[in-house]
Amino acid sequence: MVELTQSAPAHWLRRALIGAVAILLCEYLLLSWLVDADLLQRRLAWLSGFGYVAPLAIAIGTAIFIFASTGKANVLVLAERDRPTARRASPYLAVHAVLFLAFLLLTRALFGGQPLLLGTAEAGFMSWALLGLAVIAALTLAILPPRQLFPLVRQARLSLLLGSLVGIAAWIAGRAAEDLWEPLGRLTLSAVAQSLRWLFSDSFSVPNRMLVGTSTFRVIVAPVCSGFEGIGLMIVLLGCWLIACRRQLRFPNALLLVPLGIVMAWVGNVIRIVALIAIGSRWSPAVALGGFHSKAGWVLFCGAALGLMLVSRRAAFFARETPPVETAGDSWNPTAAYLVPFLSGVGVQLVAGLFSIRADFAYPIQLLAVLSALWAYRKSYGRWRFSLSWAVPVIGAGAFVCHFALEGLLGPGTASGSTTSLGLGVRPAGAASALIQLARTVIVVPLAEELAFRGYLLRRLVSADFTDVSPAKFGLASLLISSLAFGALQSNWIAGAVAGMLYAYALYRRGRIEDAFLAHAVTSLLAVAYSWWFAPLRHA
Amino acid sequence: MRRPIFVRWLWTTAAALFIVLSLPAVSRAQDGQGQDGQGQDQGQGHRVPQFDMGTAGAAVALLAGGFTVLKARRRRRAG
Repeated sequence: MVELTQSAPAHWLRRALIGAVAILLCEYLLLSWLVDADLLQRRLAWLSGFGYVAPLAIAIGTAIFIFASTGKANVLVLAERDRPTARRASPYLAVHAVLFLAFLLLTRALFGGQPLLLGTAEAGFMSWALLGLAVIAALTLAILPPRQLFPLVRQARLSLLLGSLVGIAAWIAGRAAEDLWEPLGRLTLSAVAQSLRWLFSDSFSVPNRMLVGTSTFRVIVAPVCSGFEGIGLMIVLLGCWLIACRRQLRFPNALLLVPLGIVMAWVGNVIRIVALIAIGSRWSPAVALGGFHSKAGWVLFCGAALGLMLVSRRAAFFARETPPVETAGDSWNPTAAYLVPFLSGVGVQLVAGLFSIRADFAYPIQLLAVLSALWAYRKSYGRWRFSLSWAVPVIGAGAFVCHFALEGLLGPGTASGSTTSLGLGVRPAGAASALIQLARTVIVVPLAEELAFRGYLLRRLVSADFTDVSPAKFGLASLLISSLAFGALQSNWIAGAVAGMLYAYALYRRGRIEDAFLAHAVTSLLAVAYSWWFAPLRHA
Repeated sequence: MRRPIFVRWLWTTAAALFIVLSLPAVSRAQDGQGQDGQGQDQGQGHRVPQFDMGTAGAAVALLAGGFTVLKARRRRRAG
């Protein structure tokens, strides 16, 4: 019988789970490389009637995961004596490998442009789905053999039950909330139309077609434009904030933040649509539908959400204890020191993108913002010692080669609008522009990114008190998560994640964040050189 | 209900709700409709969703980072 104990945590299951996730990720990448995803979607079009299954499964899965992996019912906390040996795991791993190979071949046969092997699409799909489940089952048994798995499921039954109930409830709430889209859309339309009447003489609205605008530019206030997504996101975000800061906030006053946030999210969306129509009508439809459309929603939402959080910590009405005013150097916020330079760069890039400002015009502003943040926190970083090591430039150059080789193999992906120190730059117009781009892309942005991802996140995932963690002491989980987070902000997430791992390796060798920064700077320097001399002219 | 379970319940609900609420936006991005604003309106008007998935990475980083910084507590400097 497996015993769950809080006092003897064993981390082998955590490591095994990470290994299993890594295996599944590699297999997924192999599948996505070998199989045409568009063809797969077309072949599975008949499944669209079951579109509710995936959200329901994800909601239940998430709820069960949280219930079963936190607190006293944590299934990761197992007695050490139940650790499976490599010998016990290997037969299941071999079965998993064979089943995956069969799954790969069947996937190719069904969705790779070959004729169907198994009669109707439904029969083929059923065989394919069952084989897929068998692949996952074999991997599960490799982590936990049946004699451990079933007792564990029995012990975690309460978490499974509660997780399922919460997941189903969240799914029902999400479905029910969709009914509010239409009335909310009508309210948004009427508010936008009223605001436009004050601003423009040629404004009009057609409520039955949800159309609003001026004689030269008009938009449809579709359900996705109604502000519903912003309200939902605000409720969740402020809900998390109230839970996370429950000891610092004054209740019930702090509960007012939620209705305040809902109103701000909705008003922000109305302002966004009015501004978009104003820009499209009187300035440039291209700017309205380009940078402004894609970024205004996020900029206003981030401003409202972060503003409310800041006020809740500072205002005595919301905060149980107001933080002391910053005094000359007797206290510091290490998290801010490591994250604010990166966040200021991202923030400037988002705001500059609102008006479709060309990247080379935005660089000086971004450079100034990040430099200011670095200067403000300069005393927090300690003394950096740069000493030459042959391995650092090699790692940096290796990251460059991997990054661009993977981009070539997998495609450039979709740029998510980050600080993108690894992406191609734009060819500078003159010497001053070249210097600014070099300083920004090769020095300042890599510094901000290394402080955030290797200096903070990599160590924060090891311990909450991250400043006490040696830079070279991190686990596989923290390496994977921080590298994936770094990759998510690059133009191609896989290539970015691989580069992130290489910078973590540079850090690991001598335990110096300076080495990760230098390796990153070398990669960025090569990327800039490549974009200036070899790549076609690009304007971001 | 014991306090840790209550807190876990809240976290779980928040996470599950977040996923359910964000799925329509994700599926919109996957369907290639996230760039609606780019389209020609043909007299019908442009569709302009509140959130563009192409910028979501930077925005989520800003929100998560801002959340973390604002939640973090100040410490007295050693020495």
